[in-house]
Amino acid sequence: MSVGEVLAVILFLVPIIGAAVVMAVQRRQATVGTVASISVVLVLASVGLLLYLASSSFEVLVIEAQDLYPLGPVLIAADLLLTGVFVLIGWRLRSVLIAGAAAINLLLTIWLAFRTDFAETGPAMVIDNLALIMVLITSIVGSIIAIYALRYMREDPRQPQFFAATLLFLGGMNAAVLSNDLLWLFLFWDVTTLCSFLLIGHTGTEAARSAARRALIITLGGATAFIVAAALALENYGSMSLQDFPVTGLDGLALMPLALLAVAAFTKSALLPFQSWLLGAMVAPTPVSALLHSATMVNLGVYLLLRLSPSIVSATSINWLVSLVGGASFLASTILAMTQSNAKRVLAWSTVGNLGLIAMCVGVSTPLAITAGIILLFYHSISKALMFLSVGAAKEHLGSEDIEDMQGMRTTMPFVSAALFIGVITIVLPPFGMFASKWLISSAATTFPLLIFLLGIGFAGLVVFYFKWIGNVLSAGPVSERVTLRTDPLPRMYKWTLGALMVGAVGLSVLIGPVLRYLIEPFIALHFALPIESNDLSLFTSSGTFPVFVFLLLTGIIFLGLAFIVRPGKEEISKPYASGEEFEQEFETRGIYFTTEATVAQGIKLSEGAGILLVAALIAVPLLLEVI
Amino acid sequence: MDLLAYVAQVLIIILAPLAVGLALGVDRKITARMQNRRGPPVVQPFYDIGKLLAKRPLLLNSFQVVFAGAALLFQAAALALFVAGGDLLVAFFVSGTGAVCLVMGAFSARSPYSYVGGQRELVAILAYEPVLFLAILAIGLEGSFLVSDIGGGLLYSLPLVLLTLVPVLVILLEKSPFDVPTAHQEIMSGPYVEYSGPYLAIAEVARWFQLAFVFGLVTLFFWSSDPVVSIAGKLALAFVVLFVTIVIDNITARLTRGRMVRFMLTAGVGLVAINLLLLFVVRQGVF
Amino acid sequence: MALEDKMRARSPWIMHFDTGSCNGCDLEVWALLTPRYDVERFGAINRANPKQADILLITGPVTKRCEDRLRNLYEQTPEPKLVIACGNCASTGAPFHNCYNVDGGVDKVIPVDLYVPGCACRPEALIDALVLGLSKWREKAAGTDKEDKG
Repeated sequence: MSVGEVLAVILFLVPIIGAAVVMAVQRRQATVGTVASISVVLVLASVGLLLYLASSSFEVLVIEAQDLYPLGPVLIAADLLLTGVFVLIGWRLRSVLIAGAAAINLLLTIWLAFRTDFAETGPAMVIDNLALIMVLITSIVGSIIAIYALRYMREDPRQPQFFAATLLFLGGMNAAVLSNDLLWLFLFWDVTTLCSFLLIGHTGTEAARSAARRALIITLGGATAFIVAAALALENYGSMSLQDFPVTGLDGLALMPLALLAVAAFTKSALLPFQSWLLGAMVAPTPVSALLHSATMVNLGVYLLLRLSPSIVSATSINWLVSLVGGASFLASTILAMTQSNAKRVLAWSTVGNLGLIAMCVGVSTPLAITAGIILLFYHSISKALMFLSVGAAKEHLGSEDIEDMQGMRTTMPFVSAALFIGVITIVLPPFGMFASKWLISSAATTFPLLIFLLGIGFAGLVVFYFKWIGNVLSAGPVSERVTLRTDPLPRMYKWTLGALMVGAVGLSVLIGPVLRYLIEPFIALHFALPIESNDLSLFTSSGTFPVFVFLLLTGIIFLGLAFIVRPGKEEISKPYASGEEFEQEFETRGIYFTTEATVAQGIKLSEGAGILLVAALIAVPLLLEVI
Repeated sequence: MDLLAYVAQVLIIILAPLAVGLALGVDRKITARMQNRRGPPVVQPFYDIGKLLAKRPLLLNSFQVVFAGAALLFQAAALALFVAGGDLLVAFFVSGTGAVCLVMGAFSARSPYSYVGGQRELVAILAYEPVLFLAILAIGLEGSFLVSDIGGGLLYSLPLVLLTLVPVLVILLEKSPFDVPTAHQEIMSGPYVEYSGPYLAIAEVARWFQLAFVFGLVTLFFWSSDPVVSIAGKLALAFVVLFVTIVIDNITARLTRGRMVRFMLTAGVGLVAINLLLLFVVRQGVF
Repeated sequence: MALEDKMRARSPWIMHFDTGSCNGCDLEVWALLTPRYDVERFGAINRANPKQADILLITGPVTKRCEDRLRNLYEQTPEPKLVIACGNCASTGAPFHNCYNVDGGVDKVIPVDLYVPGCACRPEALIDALVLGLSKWREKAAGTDKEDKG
């Protein structure tokens, strides 16, 4: 076995073994030790994999199944076991849908296993740069979230279960993005489904249980679409290897596997019309939300779309539908986010929107758009994790997640406020990483002018709901004694995890040139002509340039420089103007939320309806083409 | 790039906001004449800025100043990018950042009017930003996002896009019927309410830079190979647009924020869509 | 500092506050902004916000209820500033000077620079006060400038 293979195996096997250890020992001390050491291992292994691939100038690493010999049969057994477990869960929950979907999955898996003589039809794992990016995100961001959770969940009575599920989640996610064989991928796809089900329902309240059930129904439905697609792929393409997906001449029924896999990806990524499970999952503890939204789960869907992008690009009869689903998700979610005052719900809608943008990029199908999608995926996960963890820390102090309750948080919780501020500006404003992708998307969308209207309104909405929130956080009157960054009583564990993410979000934006060159471009170059040139200072496309470094410098000077220069004297401080009235620090404020709950419910129904139509069209088009 | 062009660019970056200041003075004069008053001298905005700079500073907290300064620097960067022939989209987003900084400045002062002003400014951003974004993408569709590569002909191919820039400027110039964020006599001066003296001057100059960028966008619609005709035409076009907004200001009353957003997102966005559709139809040779 | 002074003289922003007037003087103050009197030709605009105002136009006797508000507004106006008491009541309290709910003239609460007599004060007189005020303002500004340096 080569070093790369060992690292790949470590990346998914170690967390899974760790999960077993945590379950077996059942003690807080042991849990903390295991989680912390596995986090370190994951970070080291993922960075090691990066270095290993870099040393061979990012050549694609292909791992055959026989190299991992005992693993193949074990995994097929696990595959059958897991789908069986889902049937049982469906039985226990008295849900025909869950049991039915799981039963179909079980039968198809058995059939496929016999069909392929219990062997893989292609290489078991293919590690290219896309997989590498995903592994880095899952291992590093996921580890940070797990460490944060050690503190957040310290008083939870069922900690071992929680951390076992978390570790299994990370392992499953790593394995899923490394897998090339559809049956392997299917197993780990199901592992993430199981873990999200367990974690969402962790608190055991009525709301949590129904949210977990909903998540299971939708993602298991997606899994059914996935396994049907795998079967069809075997029939049509003669292989279940993602590598062997045809990139030309796709027509008629041959499009069906792609369409079904896209639908499966939509369920995982919670795009319209499947967004409801992610919104419901907000009842779970904050680290779970962070895990679902940034490090694992939803990324898997868009990862699959990006993985299939070479095929989708050539499937011109369905790719516009993919981009419309993405675009519609983006627009609807930003509009709905503007109407929400619960911070986690706002973030949830914004996740749906960003993933929609990535799906849209794949649908637009130009190399530029796909590059933009990967950039967005990369930077989104860091910033979103930062936002969620900050909200969690704020909630511990305020006892609320409502935006209006965060009024003036800058004076009481400066560290968390700084984290939120950096999270928001790295998501929305230039010149940070996500902005770079927004700029590329806008340029790329001109090949599909309908989309620019969705984008225009969506981007403005993004500004509105994020800055309404951060404005509340930053508001402060002329109070004399306040907590400074240094004296902030925030627990040290939070400071370190939030700090790491802040440094990551800003630092990687500074390094966007190298990130693009070493992480993203090798994947694009495998399949397309390179659309972007970069040196360390600027990005260039065929239609524009973006002097990243100049603007980063400018932003740095502006915020840090001004903050240091501006030191008003005591006599300059005045009272806020209120027509001469004196008022205490407290006054009732309420931001503009545009609509009532009833209208929001209607809006959700409407956008779900549009989503269902688009998804139906996505499945119908291959059938229609076949008939014609 | 030769030195002369470089110097010219620097000069434009400095002169453009001054021109906007002058234009605002002209605006006040014309408005006064329309109301049968004599009005202030045309250089009044400069007197105001000079006076404000000479006042003693007064503020609630230092974040206000940081954000006002940030707004100024971002708007100046956007204009510089525009003048240097850079990417329009990037310039637009940077200018948008400046606008957002102003909102943050308003929010950072804990004061009721400032809070309402910040909220309303966000609503205004929701109203004008999509239209401005679409206008820029329409220009990009016609040629390039690089200002230096944009040639003539925009006026003929995108007349309706130019038309949609008028309500955008009505919002940015804080004029009726869309002066919702500042709304004098209703919420004082909205986001600016807690700014005073030199800090108000900074915020005001930031606005001049922003207006210079948007007026610059307007001037892109006219182009001629003869530089003299080109410059004269650009200035004339900018003046015509300014005059139209002044007329609108004087014959309308303030509308609610909801109607502002609805108007911009239907009529404004719709006009761009119709323009692009017509262009597509004509180009396909249907007529 | 000649340039600064010139700028100041050309841009006196006003704020009007009613401390309990019968609204007679208020009407006259508003008349200043109408086409007939048009004080905007001197660069004056009504900011309705003490933080951005230079000249406070106060009308009416100061009622006890208004006292704190008036003081607040005065404190929120940045230096150099000028206070003009518009009308008899604002100047002295006039018929209300010994009322149980009235403090008297504006100068009982905040320092006043100029008094405009009349019941109600005529707009012409107000313009006169404004122009006279500008020279007085210059003196005050010189004082604050010196303070800032010293």
